Amino acid sequence: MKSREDLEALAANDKVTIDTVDGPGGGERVRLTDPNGFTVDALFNRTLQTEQPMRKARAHNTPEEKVRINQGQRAPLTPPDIARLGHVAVLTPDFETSMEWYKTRLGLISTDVLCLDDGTPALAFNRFDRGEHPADHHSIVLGTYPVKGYEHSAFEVHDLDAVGLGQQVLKQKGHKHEWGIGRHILGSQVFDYWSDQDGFKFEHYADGDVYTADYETGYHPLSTQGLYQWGQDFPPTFTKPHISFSFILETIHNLRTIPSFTFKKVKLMIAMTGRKARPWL
Amino acid sequence: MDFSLEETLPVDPRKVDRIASPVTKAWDIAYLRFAKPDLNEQAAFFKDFGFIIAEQTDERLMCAVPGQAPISSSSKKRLKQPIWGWVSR
Ligand SMILES: [Fe+2]
Repeated sequence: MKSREDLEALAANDKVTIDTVDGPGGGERVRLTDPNGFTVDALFNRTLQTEQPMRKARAHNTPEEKVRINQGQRAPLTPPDIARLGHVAVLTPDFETSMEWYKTRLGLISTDVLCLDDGTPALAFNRFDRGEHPADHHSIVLGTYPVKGYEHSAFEVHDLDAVGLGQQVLKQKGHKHEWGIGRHILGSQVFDYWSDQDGFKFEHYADGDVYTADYETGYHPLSTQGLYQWGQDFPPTFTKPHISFSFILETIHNLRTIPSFTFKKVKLMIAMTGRKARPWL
Repeated sequence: MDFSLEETLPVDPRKVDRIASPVTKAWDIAYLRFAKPDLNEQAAFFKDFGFIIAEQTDERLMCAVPGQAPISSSSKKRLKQPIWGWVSR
């Protein structure tokens, strides 16, 4: 948050207190609960990690300009330096209420919205409103899903070689690969997805888009085609739910209790996400 | 063959409007918190992914990233709900 007034406004809006953070970073915090039950901390006056040396992005030779002469392209075969936490994607059966909640409290702007064939928004890539300062294409992604949950989080690395060599290291260590390397369309990041021992997905990315506040929202169909322009074929397992007894129970409960989450919506979503990615192939 | 990277919608979308006066305008995403059963396994994955382990006890694991961004953490309770927060610079 830019000011203590922001914390005060949030605390008053949600009728919660401002707490002193007892732990790394310090500062003050307002702890909110979103409509899905997830905790969202709003922070002010934190001491951030001090700068540590990181490698610079590699220089690339292009047909017009050769910047590397008598010198190979060799990034280190190590885990990449992580430059920052870029975004998190959250799944929710109550998309409408969640969007309203985050936008009202945090001033998010939707950069691109994926809609069902009947025009209903189903997934939104939201960025921060930094006025004339550019913000990442998306920092908070909200997507309709039968049950609430964490989808993935993404961390920015320096360049394409950091993504590529990062993949080599994770492969060598025997971790589970999910999808990549490829380039997204909305956001344009070069991506590589991995999952940890509990199946939580984490993404390395480089070369993402940034937008200022005046950029207008784009609308697109919800489909796997919208996910990437090139790269490894989209694995159907990536978005397929693990259908357990509790998944079914929660889905039925959500269909009964959440007005905007309907059987029609589920049918449209299944049909649309089943369409062919990259139809030109 | 006439394909393009960007697809078009068959109908007009229901627009997602901006909020005229939001309570705040957050500046950035600060950290994520996870509740995980095995912190040693978690630390191994996080290291291979590129995080720096800033602190590890029986109860919690804190990761730092070397640049400006702060910390991800993990607590020992078997809850699969991530928690996250924000900060501005
Ligand atoms: Fe992502």
